[in-house]
Amino acid sequence: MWAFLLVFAKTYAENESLVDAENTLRFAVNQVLTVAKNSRNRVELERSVRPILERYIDFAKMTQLAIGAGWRALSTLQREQAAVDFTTLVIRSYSDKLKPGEFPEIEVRSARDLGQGRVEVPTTLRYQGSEYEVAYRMHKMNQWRVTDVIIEGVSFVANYRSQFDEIYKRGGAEAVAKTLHTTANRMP
Amino acid sequence: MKKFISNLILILVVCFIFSGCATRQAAEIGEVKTTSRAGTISQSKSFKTTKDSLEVPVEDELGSFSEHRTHVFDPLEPINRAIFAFNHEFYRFVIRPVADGYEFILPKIVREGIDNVYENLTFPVRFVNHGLQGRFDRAGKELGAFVVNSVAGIGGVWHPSEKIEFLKDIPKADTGQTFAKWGIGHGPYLVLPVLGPTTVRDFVGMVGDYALNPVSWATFAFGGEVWTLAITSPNTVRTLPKRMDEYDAATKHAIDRYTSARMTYIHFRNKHAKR
Repeated sequence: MWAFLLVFAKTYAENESLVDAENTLRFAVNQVLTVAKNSRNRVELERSVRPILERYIDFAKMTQLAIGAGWRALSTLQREQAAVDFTTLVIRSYSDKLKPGEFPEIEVRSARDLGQGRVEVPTTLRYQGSEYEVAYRMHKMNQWRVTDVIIEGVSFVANYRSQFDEIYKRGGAEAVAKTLHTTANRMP
Repeated sequence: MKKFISNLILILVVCFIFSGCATRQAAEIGEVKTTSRAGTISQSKSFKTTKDSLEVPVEDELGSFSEHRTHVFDPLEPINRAIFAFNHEFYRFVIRPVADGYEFILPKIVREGIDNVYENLTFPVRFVNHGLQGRFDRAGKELGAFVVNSVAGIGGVWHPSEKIEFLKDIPKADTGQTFAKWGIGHGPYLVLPVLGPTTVRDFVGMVGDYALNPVSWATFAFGGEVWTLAITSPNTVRTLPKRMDEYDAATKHAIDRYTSARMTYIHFRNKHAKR
């Protein structure tokens, strides 16, 4: 009886956690889309969307995941700079996929547990007659935060990781930090 | 010239034959297999790194993201990079102005009508490939959608099939995808002049799609006479804005445009093959 209750309680807590992740994402996406709809131009959109993304995306973790092996070779100062640069790059890239004045339809589907406090929340984005599958990988520290966005099977983190890997192979951690800084400061 | 073309075809056919084994091996090395247990995805601990890939222990910093890391077989990388660099400038100075001009001149409703007509015409590509993949249900739906759109949609200008629950949202199918479903690997990654990223498998698939596409039949039937351009050119131009958007999405904010375009292409095609 006690064993049954324990299993039931655990399953209930896990499901609650998944629903919590879905709701966090739904809330975050709605905020982003509302800001995008009310923005008059791209500059305003990027500026307005930044605080929301900073609240719901774990940029430090994302930077670490994207840089991968090179991360350990960076000094504390370089890591901080890399996180700032990568944040700029992610926000710019994400904002670029939104159009000022438009509000695409997004359906948030059931999250699946990836283990170790991580979940994946699949969503379907419908825009101008086309459908796109966008999945958000999230992990929980104090709250659920996004650590990767997978658009039509293309992982944002893995894609950057493959690029950093190439640079790391050729020039080491210094080259990674320098190239990231140059790219983040390149005019879009 | 003929000799060059026949040699090129021979090389591609040989590559294609060997591509199955080559990439399957590469995929086994580069990808982490995941196993599903009670709704939880756990990673295989025996992640093998290639000599090219980095040693990434510490539970692999990508953690559960590792299944998205794919080793791409790119033996022609120096040549591919050179063609990629050429394409980048060509897109910038030639293709993008044409794409922008097309969007500027024609109203959206006209562009949608043109897209619809050509999408409807390419029905044989999807119909045959659904059949070759054993998805006869989807082939049947394609046939139904084609008839409805051709008749009620006046030659496919409108797609009333999208309003019919049974006929809407049919997954796309192409010959490269069929090869993937048959278990044939990507083979070497290629960057074609102007056309951009592909693999040997998808390039052969592209030839198949071309042969199945009624739009190209006019060129075959009339030996490439100038008037046939009136049929084939709009089909090329109409796809340019979308292609440029896709290219931008893959490269605009990249650290290394070439690597980003390569990964985006491979992941996108892998996803497409699973549909």
